[in-house]
Amino acid sequence: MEESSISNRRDFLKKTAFAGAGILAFNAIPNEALAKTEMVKITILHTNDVHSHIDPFPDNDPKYAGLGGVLRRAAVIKKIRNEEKNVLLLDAGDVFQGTPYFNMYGGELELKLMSMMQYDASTIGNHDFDNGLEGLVKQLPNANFPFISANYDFTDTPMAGKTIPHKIFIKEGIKIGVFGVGIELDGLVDKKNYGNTRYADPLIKAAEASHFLKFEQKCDLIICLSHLGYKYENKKISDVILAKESKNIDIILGAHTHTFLDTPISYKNSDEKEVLVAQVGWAGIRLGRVDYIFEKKSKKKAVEGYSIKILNKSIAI
Amino acid sequence: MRTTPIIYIASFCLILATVCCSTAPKIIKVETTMVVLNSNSTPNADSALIKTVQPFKLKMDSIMNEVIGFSEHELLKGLPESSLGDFVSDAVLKKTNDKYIPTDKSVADICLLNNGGLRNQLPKGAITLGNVFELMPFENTVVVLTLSGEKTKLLFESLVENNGAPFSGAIIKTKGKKITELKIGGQDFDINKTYKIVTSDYLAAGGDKYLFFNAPLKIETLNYKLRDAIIDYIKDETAKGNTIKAQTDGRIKYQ
Repeated sequence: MEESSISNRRDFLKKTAFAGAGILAFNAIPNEALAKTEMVKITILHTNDVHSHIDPFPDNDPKYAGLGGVLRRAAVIKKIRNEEKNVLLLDAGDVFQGTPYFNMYGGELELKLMSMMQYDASTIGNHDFDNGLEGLVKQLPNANFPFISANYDFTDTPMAGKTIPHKIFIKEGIKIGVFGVGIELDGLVDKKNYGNTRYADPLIKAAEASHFLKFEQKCDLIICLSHLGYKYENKKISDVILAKESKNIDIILGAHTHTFLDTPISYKNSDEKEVLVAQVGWAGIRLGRVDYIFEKKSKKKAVEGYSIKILNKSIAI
Repeated sequence: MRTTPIIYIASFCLILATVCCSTAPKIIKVETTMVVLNSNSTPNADSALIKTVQPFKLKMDSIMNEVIGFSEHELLKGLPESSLGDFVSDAVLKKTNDKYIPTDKSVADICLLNNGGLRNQLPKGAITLGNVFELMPFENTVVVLTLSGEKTKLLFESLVENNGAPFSGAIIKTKGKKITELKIGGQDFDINKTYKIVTSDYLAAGGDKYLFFNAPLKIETLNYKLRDAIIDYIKDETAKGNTIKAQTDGRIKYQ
């Protein structure tokens, strides 16, 4: 039932597709209009499951020929930064593993490039454990951004003290709370790779973190970086389940299931309020973008979301 | 001004706007916008990034661009059966039996892997070392498990229940989710026999919830990476003057 509003929206989307097809515009809400009405735009850019895909897929790839590539992503991010004042760049985990860049260099280049692109934060995916906790700890100095996780307890591991449960960003007076949740490791990650990491229920940890950010820290926007996966046929905890059970989360930036969502999907939370769930496939093929527009005094909030497909034919370099 | 478009970025835009004073967004308008980034709007890539990537890439490419074989077709992932799944499981079973020295003289019967473990597909034409690293990036090693007939039965029931997985050495026919025919190495399955299953150390240790691997009669670990088995198989074929011709052969059929 919760998807009824979405299907309506999809119908509407189809109807307006023809009307909109001829329009070329990067932002549907121009920045000049924002200035007049004293609104603040927060631009969230997100990736997930990039899996060490630094180069674009080769031209003979059966599925993703010519897509993705860090240089191109960096250029698009830079362009958006030039156009928008308040950009948050986030990753939802599985930075590591998938190309020989990881086999040969252990994730060094992935984190260096993310630092250069000025990522604000990432959470931890199951494949970020692939060289063991020591392998992760060894690479962390290459990241100038924090790893955020509310439900992995690293106390008795080499990762102790190297993650934070949440972080608050303030952009033009708008307080944005970001926290992270990770997937159950048992049965997914080899025990020798995650060692004494303790996994706690992400639903409980998300409820605690979002309540804290909303009511104690008075955040205006609450973002969950999730490596739980979009949804499953069984009852395994997913972003969809988290969205429905949650109370104070505005948007879940998801990962793990490599799901290509062309736009964030809206779900009703346990208070019947809307939560968006976003995920942009994998391998850096797309960059997700969600713009939240705030009216400062009344704290009204509007959101626009779309994913940018990083396509064929490289930027000239 | 350049006129040739060099990058196209398609964007689907949704606008969700709020109407009331609550903090929850309410949709009042939906708009789709097609954004095309051409040479006029495309920024240049950052030279600092290019410089950072270059030494890593040069060293990597010098090793990973080695062509180790040729494939007649694209090898694609899929369930219940796929050309890639058949190819990888056949290759791992073959190369394991080439290396494996059993104490009881019986070779491995079956290879069972997991679909999620195949991380990329293989192109038609030249196969590079890098292609295989992307297909199988993990450092997982080959293990040979000896299972009772009962556990082997459980394995195939689970495989059928879960809509297949990459496997080799058996033929399965089903009616719905019930197995009607099971042949292993060309022989009818016999619950009173034991079977040797080739898999990865990850799956043997409980990865992907392959519970039938719990407490096997025997576990033998080969100091042989799954990836190396695939590489060696392709190199063997190339050395024999063969190309890779793998296609699905109907080893699992749902009716």
